[in-house]
Amino acid sequence: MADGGARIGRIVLIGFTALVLLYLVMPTFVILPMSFSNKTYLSFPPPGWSLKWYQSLAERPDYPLAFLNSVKIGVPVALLATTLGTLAALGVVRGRFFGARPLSALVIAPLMLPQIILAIGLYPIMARIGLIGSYPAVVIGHTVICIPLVFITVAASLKSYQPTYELAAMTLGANWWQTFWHVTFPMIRIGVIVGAILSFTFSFDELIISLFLTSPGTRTLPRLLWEDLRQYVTPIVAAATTLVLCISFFLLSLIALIQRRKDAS
Amino acid sequence: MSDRQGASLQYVDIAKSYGRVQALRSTTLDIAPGEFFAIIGPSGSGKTTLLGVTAGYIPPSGGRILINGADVVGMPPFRREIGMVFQNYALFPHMSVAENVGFPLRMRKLPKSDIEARVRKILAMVQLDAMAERRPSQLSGGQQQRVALARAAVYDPLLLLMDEPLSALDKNLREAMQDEIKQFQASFGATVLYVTHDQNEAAAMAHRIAIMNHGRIEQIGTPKDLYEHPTNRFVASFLGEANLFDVANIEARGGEVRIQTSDGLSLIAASSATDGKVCACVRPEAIELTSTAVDAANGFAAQVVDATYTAGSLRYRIRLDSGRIITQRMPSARGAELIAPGEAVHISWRAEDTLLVQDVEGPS
Repeated sequence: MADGGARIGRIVLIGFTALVLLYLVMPTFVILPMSFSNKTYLSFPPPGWSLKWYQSLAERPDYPLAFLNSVKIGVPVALLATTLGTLAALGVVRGRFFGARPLSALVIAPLMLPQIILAIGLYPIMARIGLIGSYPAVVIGHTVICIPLVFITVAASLKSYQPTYELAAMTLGANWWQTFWHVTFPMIRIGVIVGAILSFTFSFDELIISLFLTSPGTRTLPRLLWEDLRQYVTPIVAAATTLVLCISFFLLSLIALIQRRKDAS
Repeated sequence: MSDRQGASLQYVDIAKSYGRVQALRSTTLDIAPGEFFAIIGPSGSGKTTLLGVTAGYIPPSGGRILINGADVVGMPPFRREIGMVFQNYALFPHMSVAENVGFPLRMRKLPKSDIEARVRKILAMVQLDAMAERRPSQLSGGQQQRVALARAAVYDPLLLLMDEPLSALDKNLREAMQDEIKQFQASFGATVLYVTHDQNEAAAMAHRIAIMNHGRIEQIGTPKDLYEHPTNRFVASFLGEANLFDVANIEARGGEVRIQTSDGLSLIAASSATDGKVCACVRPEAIELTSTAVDAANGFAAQVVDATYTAGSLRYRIRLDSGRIITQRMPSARGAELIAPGEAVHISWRAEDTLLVQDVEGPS
């Protein structure tokens, strides 16, 4: 029976999808209750409930500092990566020059490389030029990985329409800058904004490069979490992780919202 | 008519090649101020390249382009003061109709009140004053076309380029827009370079037409010129219908030229042949269709294969005794009966209607 077969296939598909989703969100559901534990060790499910870990999170001086550091690094990373990634996408998609394809592969490469390799490569360079442990060092490191994120989203926006709009603008008297500002940018705005948010989210969550390139003074939130986790496994780590998750979740919802608005218009 | 004078446009040995592909072979062309000049040709014939080189977004490989005598090669598009209407209009989707039309004026940093007044004036000219606040996506194809025209003309360019501006419209609207664009050009006084693949559109609108093929101009002339005196086989077959005969032998004797076709027919032409390999072309309208033989330079007994009636004219396909099919066309006289397929008829045409044209397809 073809009908019965199709129904069984459907049930299998739904079951499979549900399992995948479950595995994706399960870690989140484990972390969340653990952060409200009343004991001094990480346990699941927690034996009792309290908010004391959130309180000690606020009381410890290193957590707010690390949070601030993550923002101080994430914002310039997003700005730099968005500018450079957009320019790269414009050049590769709109420019007609020899080697555009290999070049776009090269731009995306940092995203494909294991971050540890990038970190090992950046470490001696930063040490030599005396930047190691400073904000610029980790900003540069993160920007290298975030440029491809912006490149991909902006290149997709650019490919979604014909370059006739830009040609039209130029015949109508707009110079290069005016053409970009009045025609190209409004058309790729969504891709640029999504790329910027992705870049910030990436930088905010990133651990490996931060481990290599930050110092105690520029330590990011993920690095502090990692160090804490190695010394004492208290639910304060779960509380901090929950906060990071909330911020990431908020930013990703923002992207979904922006994209839905774009589809609607 | 406008008291404004359009720009003159001259091409001197202008050429464009992409690697080894010659998109535009060395072309020299003169377009007079205020002229409506059309370029037609199949796709890949180089007409769009010529337009891009003129607008300035395709750099030519060589040659000069003179607008009102000044060479514009190397000048960026935004300094050329040319208006251009693109095939799919390229109206900015994130701007309203008024913002689209005002765009060239804003780029020129005109005062706001000026911009508003000029946008209002030109929108009234194309009868879209009521649509000023709409988005392009809320307009019909014909309305979008008029917005594109208004936007390209609002800053009073002396030269307007149009790249297949009507190809996205359906047939009835296309014909109405042809008249509208012609009228617009007359009242606006700009020189127009109009690219199309539709020969009827070109003939209906242009003062002169250039036919392009394989990156070069095959012939330039008025629509009537090109149709009645094509110089080669490509032009003869591209523009309208043609009965073409391959020539096996040709012989000038006295005032007439005797032709032996390769399928064994004897034809008589009036003028002497052009140099090189030629073929004979007879237009369907030049052929008389009669029930009995008449006295004419060229006459054949034949049989009707089929007849088609299209708006105002009759088109017959006729088989000669040799098996050759000939197309004949005539205006349908009121009350005239269609001749039934299979009926025996005679066809004839004058010696001057056997056109001798060069038998070249151009280098490919």
